[in-house]
Parts: sequence; structure tokens; C-alpha cells
Amino acid sequence: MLTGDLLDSIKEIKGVRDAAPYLLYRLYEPKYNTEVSLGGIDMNSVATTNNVCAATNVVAGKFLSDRPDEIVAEESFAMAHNLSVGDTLKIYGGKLLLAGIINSGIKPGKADIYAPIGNVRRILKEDLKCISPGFDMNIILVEVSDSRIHSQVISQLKDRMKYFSVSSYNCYQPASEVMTIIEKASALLTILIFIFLLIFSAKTQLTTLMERSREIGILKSLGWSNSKLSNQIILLSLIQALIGVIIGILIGLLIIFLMNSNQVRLFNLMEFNLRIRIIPLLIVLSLAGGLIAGILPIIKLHRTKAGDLINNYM
Amino acid sequence: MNEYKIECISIAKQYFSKNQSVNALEDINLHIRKNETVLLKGRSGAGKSTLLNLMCGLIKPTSGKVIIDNSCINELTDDELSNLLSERIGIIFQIFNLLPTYTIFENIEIAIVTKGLKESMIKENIMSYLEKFNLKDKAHLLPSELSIGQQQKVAIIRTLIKHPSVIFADEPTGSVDDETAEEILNHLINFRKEKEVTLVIATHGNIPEKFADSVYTIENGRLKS
Repeated sequence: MLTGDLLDSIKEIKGVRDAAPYLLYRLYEPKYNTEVSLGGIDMNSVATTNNVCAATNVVAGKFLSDRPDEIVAEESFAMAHNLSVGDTLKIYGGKLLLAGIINSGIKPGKADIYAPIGNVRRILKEDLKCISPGFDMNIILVEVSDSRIHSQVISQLKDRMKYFSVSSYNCYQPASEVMTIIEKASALLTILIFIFLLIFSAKTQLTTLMERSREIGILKSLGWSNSKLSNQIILLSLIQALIGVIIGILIGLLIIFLMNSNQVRLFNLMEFNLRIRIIPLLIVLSLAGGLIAGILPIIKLHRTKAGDLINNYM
Repeated sequence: MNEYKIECISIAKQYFSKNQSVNALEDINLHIRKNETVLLKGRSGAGKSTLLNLMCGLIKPTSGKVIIDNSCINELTDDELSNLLSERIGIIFQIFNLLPTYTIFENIEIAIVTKGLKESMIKENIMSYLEKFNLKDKAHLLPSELSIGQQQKVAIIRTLIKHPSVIFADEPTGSVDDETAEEILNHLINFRKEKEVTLVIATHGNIPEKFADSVYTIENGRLKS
């Protein structure tokens, strides 16, 4: 039997992002001359959002609230039975108000109508007198944090749920492959961008040196040593790199914020988030880039005499 | 111990451009004593500026040697040359070579900032020179806000403030009016007398020979005494 304790222990499994109870019941309704499935959902869980339905799926009316008589219906069910928002359905031994119509797409936990799990438990117990054990939840929805560890999570779930069936989207395997490809591609892209920026930065530093060649030549003619001038070039390059990386991180944060607040997702799955631990690495990489970019102009500086710098014969 | 402060031995300088070589200087032999004032005369393009730049180590000769205080400056390391330029050599450029984004004060300060002096001493020193050249109220201005004559004075202050033992001046009065030219020359001559400085001045002819101990003429890259 699925219990709250089991649910809590599943939430503890490494790689499980969230788990939620789900109570799915199917009842023959003579009025509609068909079996109507009712799903009781935990509205606050991402496992429900990604496996059953979410507020973003509403196509008419509104999503579920705390009202005990409110339900939402799948668009296909509503169309098949000419239902509109605001209709009262005599169903499941009572009267339920159709607050909204949703289109949840292809989801494994799809039902015809949905209500908050607490309401469904009450309907089953009080209206339909289903008082035997097992009517608190009959499905546990599990959301894995990364498709690449999906297999490991499934095997751990199977270990804990020996007497229950475990099913999953089959698409996690291609998704995992796609994720790996994306990760490799982005790593490659990052390296390419880094190399490109390094060359660009070195070129910029060299251009700056050429633009400032007269100034540097004058300073050399006044007795400024190459090491003192080199330190200035390196310092300038490092400051530019630091400013660049700070601006880059801030722009990145802004883009992530805008994408998440507008619920923009990659492949409708991946939520963008900032990995804080990567920031020091970005800063170190950027400073290393600044350091390398400063080397070329320094070599040029050492090789060129003050008079040639003043006359710009580089 | 060599009696000469500066020696140029068989100096030649060629410039290369587009598969062509131009002989800027050929077989220059010049010996300058300590505290001597030397005039290098010649028409524009004769090679005066090139010779001055070679003598102070700003460019390298194609062949030959420049010796200052018994040291061949072409064989000095970068640090040794920087030290020489900082401590013993002062250069006054034909086109002043002031830094356009630096104030007058900063343009002079860059000449002595490497000496490790106290900030208050640097300021006091700069302001006393500016006062001597009637430029005290111009310290905060940019070079572009000064007249040509005043800019040349700043370039001269920048050189004198280092107390060099040799000054190379490339057309120091070439761009100024007669009155300012006389003032500048007087400053240079007085400084030479006070500090025992060797003075090498390149001119196309507007500086009277009476100011010099020796006069040399450069024609087509060759030296004539």
C-alpha cells in the first residue's frame, strides 16, 4: 500500500527532484455513458506539474482553487460532452462545478477531470463510501532531477517498491542522450568562445598598444622600464577582463531571470538556473584570459625601441 | 678613463621600406667632451634627428657604436638603458611629445615619478620649475590649452627637472617666436653652466653658433665639422 512514509522516503532518494501523491479513480457514469476518470492532484508539486497537469495548461476558465466542489476537465473530455466553464456536473455522487478547461498534452497521469487530492479523497470516502484502505493515493508521481541518472533512480525505486509497478516515460533515454550531446556541445562551444575571446582580446590589447605607442614611447624615452610598462599593460588587461566577466555574469543572470519568469524552457524540460559554484571558475578563466591576452603586446613592447614607438614604426 | 662624454664610432643608419633602403646616416664619427655644447646643423631631412635619437638610445644603429660615459649604449640591457634615460639623459623633442590627455603637471611628473621621490617633494620641485618658466598658473591645464611656445617650455622643464648630465635637444626653438627662442636658449645655457651638463642641439640654423663650443654640419647623412 502506498503511504505518506513511502512517499517521504522516495523524496529522499538521490536524484529525485520531487515526488507527489496522486489518486486516480475511474467510475462508470451512466449520464455520460462512459467511464470518467477523476485525478486527485497535489497542486504544489513539480512532479504533478510535469506528469499530470498544471495551471499553465488552462485553455478556458481558471485552474483549481481550494473550493471543495471545483474541478477542471481535459479539453477533449469537455468537447466530447459539450461542457463549458461554469457548468455543474452531476457526477461521482455529487455536484461539481467546472472551473476550467485544460489541455495538459501528453502526460502519463492524464485523467478526464481533476480536483485537489484532498477533495477527491473526501468524494471517494463520503460520497462514494470507499472506506477501505488504499484511497489516500494509488500512484506516486516522481520527478527525476536529470534524465541522465533516470536509470539509477528507477532501480532504486524498484528496490523500495518491490510489490508495486514502476513505469516511466521511455523518452528519458533519448532525452538523456540529447542532454549529454548538449552538454558536450556547450562545453566545446565554451572552449571555442574562450579561444576566440582570447585571440580577440589579445588583438584588442595589441591595437591599444599601437594606439598608445607614442605615449608608451615617450614614457620609455623618459626612463620608464619595460617591466613597469608591462605591469601597466597586464593590470589594464586584468581590469578589462574582470569588468567583462562581471558584466557577462550580470547579463547572464538577467537572461536567466527573464527566461524563468517567462517560463521559457529548453525542450520544454530544462529550467535555466545559475550554478553559483561556477562563478569563481568564470572569474579565474577570465583573468587567465586577460593575462594571456596581455602577453602579446608585452612581447611587442620589449622588442620595439622607444624611438620606433614614438614614430609608430611597429 | 676616456676624456669624452659621448662618442659615435662609425655610425650608420639605414631605413627599409618596400624593398628599398635609405641611408639616413653614413660613417658618423663624433666625439663630445663633458660639459661641451655642440650644435648639429643641417637642413631638414639631413639626418640630425636620426643622429640624436641614436645617441640617446631611442633607436638602434644599423652599424657602429654610441658610447656614453664609457658604456656602449647599444649593448645595454633594457633596464640599464631605462636607468640611463631616467638618470643621466634628457631629451627635448622637436614636436615636444607631451601627452595630450595628461595635465601640464602630470606631463612633468612622469619624468621623475620613477625616481622614488616623496610626493610633496615632486610637487614642490615641479611648481618651482613652472614658476621659473612663468607657467605656474598653467599646471592644471592640458597641453592643447597652451601656446606652442609654452608647450615647448613644458617639454624643456620635463627634461631639466631630471637633472641629466647630457641633454639632447632636437630643434628646441624651431617652432617658437624669436623672443621665446631666446628665452629657451638662455634657460638651456644657464642650466648647462649651473649643473655642468653636456648639451647637444640639433638645429636647421636658427640658433647662433656663438652658443656652442663645437659646430658640426650634417649633409645627406654625412658629418662635416
